[in-house]
Amino acid sequence: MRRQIASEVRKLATTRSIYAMAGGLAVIVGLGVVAIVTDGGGANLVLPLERQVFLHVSLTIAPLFGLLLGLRSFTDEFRYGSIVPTLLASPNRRRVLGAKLVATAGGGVALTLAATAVSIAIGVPLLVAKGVEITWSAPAMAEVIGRLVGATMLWTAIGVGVGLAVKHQVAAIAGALVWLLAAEGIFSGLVPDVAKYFPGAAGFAVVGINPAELLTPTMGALLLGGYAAVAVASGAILMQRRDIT
Amino acid sequence: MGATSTADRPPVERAPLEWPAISVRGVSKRFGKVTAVDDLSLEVHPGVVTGFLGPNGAGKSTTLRIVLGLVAPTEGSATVLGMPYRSLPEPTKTVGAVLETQSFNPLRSGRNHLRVLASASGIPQARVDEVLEQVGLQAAARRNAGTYSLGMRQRLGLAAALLGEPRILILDEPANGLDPQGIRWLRDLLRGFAREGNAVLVSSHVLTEMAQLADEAIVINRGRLVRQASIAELTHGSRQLSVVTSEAPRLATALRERGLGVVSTGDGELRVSGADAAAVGMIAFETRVPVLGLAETQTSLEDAFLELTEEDAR
Repeated sequence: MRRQIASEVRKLATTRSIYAMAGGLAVIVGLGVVAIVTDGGGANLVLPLERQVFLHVSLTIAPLFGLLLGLRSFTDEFRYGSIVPTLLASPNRRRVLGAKLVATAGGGVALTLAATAVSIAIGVPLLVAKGVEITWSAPAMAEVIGRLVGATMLWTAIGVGVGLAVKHQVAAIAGALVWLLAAEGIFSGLVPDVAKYFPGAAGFAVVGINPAELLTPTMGALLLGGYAAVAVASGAILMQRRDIT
Repeated sequence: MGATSTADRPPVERAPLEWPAISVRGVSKRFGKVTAVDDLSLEVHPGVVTGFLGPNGAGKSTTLRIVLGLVAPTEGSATVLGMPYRSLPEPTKTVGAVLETQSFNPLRSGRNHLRVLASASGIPQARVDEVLEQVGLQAAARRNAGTYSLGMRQRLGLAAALLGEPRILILDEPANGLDPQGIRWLRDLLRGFAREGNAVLVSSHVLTEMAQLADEAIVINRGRLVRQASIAELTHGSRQLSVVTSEAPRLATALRERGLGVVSTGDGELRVSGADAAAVGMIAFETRVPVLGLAETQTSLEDAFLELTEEDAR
């Protein structure tokens, strides 16, 4: 298992994709933070750091990059045929799945932490420039980061499982984005009481977005964990019987 | 070329392989209603290069994938050194396989592709540079593999197969995209590898290639075994004589009476199989038929192969 994890980490580190994703995420987060802090727009800026609204940018967007990383994990291999040498080296398909879960969780967490660091590095000087006094509580900040890390790990697992089940990269990524960015939004307008149990809403609940309307973070984490378990299990079952032709 | 042939490397002192190296027993594979492999049994032995021949769609790739545990057979079983591939403790140190020309992420360098595979098999990273040199790819090693030519992709695949210093090589259409020097290089590599007591199974639908690469041949068609024989036997078995005579019908009857295969091609020419020139000459003499021409025609492997697969199709 250790060998396979080492191999998966090497896979992540040896194409430009993850660096391109990190760069793209940094730009999006940076722009979002600048917009929120400078615009003001009536938003209350006099808050402890861990409750600053600008943090929501990385809290909501960064885990989706974890999902993308997970979706690409198997679909890249099917797309390029590298699944063949991968399975020849490690014929135990469950072991390959396990190693990918570990490696993409690590990669996803690295992405989200980097994005949060970028948002703090941009947001704090802007706040100081606006004359806002920075206060923060280490335990509260740790909790925010902890939730972000947890949400990201669950999202990467969902991505790995869905990618493995769907196999086709474009279908998997397009399907996931359409669901999260469009379908869930429509459902939350029509049937908010049902839509708060959907994966995207559960993910927001984990990182503490909109607690008044969504689930509590704990409930959100349990629900998102359930989605992750279903995705990974269905991927694993399909993969176990799949012919690699 | 810049490639180092196996002959330049110090011979590896290893015990000869078990016999047989690969064994396929009663394997069938159906994809829906399509039967890709139909009750196929075959054995691959160490010490020789075994060719796996058949027209496109004959079931070669499916069979190789069943041997490698990538495809589950509907019936039967396939083993490598007596074990299913998926049960081998160190699969890549036992079997090296190349299945298709593109089996790598095009945005990863050839060297990094091999490093990824080496990590997965617990092979020291230093081995990566050794195999790159062995297949003559060191100059392009740090370039993205997506920029490689077809021949370079084949070499990268071969490098991946050789990483674990395996005892068995399984190659699906490895000569695709290689130039004539490349094919000669591949032949030397495979022959040298087999001479060390290892086993090689190499598939192709191009027979001239196969005649150059292999010693033994397993011919399949429509998922069924047609013949397993040496390349020499295959071509020898269909050696024919061309006899030109002014009295073709009489001679044909006489030859057929003696159990020989005769085909009339017109213009007084008969194609006779199953006897040598001396025997046919003697029969003509006894029948008092003038012989105007008598020549042995060595059918090419191509003809032998077409004959075998056509017979089977009938």
